[in-house]
Amino acid sequence: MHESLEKYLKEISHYLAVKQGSDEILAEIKSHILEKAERESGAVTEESLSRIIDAYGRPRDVAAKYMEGQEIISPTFKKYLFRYTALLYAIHFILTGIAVYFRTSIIAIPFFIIPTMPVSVALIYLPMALIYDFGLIALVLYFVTQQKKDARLPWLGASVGRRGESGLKRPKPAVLVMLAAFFGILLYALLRYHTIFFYNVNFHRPQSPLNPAASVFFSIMFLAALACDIIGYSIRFLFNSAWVMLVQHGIVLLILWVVWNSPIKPQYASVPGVDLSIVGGGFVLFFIVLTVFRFLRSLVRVTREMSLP
Amino acid sequence: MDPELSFLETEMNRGFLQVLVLVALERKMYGYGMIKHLEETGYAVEENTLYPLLRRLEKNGWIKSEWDVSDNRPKKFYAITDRGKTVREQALAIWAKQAGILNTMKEVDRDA
Repeated sequence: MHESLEKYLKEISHYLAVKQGSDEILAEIKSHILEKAERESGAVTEESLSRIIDAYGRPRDVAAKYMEGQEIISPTFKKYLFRYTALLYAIHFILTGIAVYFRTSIIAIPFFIIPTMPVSVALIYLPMALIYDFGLIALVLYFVTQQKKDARLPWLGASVGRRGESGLKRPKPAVLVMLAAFFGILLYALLRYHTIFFYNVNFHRPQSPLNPAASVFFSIMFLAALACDIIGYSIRFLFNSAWVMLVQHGIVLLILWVVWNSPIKPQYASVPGVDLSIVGGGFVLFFIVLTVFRFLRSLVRVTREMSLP
Repeated sequence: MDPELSFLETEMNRGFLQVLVLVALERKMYGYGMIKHLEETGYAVEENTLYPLLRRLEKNGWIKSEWDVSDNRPKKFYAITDRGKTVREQALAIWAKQAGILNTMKEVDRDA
């Protein structure tokens, strides 16, 4: 065995991060170095190997050449890493202030998990939150890079079409009619059955998965969020601005915050084979994540609108 | 050599080496043999540049490889694929076009 060669290959292997074929790469380098040593020095000795290894290059440089074009985060996304982190951290900072002031917790997985805490703890929490936000955005951009490194990411005027347009679609009357009809059906159900949540399809004896008080409360909250969407959508027929969407999603977020911190604790019906508490929790969590996403998107659109002449 | 010129040479060699390898691999060759063959024609290439390039070309489907284990020391032989031949012809046409443009411009400058 050639100690210096084995050590050299081991070091290359340490830096080599390729999806597959690393053993083959090392075998090829080994074969090359051994052949070169034999042909140029007549025999493979530790001395000749050391000379050829030195000429081959530093292990990290050798490994790096195999990874050219395999960036962790695309260079074109670097400015977005800082922009998105700043945006996320600004929201995180404000929500932490709200949580401290109202002595409550705010949870919007995966963006924020802000526990109830005093000011002294918040001062330690906030720098940690910055590191977390940076890591989260870096993770998202890593996945985007792996999937599509030339993807266009939204920010300010970057995705705007012609100048003077915010990139916001015009509202459609058909969508408003559908939303209103959906709201009407749910309102009818609430008035008639005192709930809009059912786990059976028997119209004569519909059954709610929740106890009566929780049924009424969560139904009203859901309808309030839907009403908020309808009102926001209607206003956009007259004033199609991202600000309307931002306020609309902000109010829905507040409603969801009330739902999450509801004083009325839901009691779920017992259904064989189905854990309704998981279904209910997942339902609320889905709406929180969706609304946070819509809120952030409108925030980006607002900044884009503000950048337009 | 002027560092700026050296950088320019590296940039120019980046594409040239790919075409050169596609031309050289008309017959089967392994890494060390290819380096020696290129050296004989007057082109020196570092081994730590050639092997990663061969891997990229293989990933593109322009060349293929197989290990020959009949000798004491296994060797990885490379050969051009049909797709690689098509790319090679297109690359050579681009190179000829670029050379033509340069010649035309030099003639225009000389006449002016």
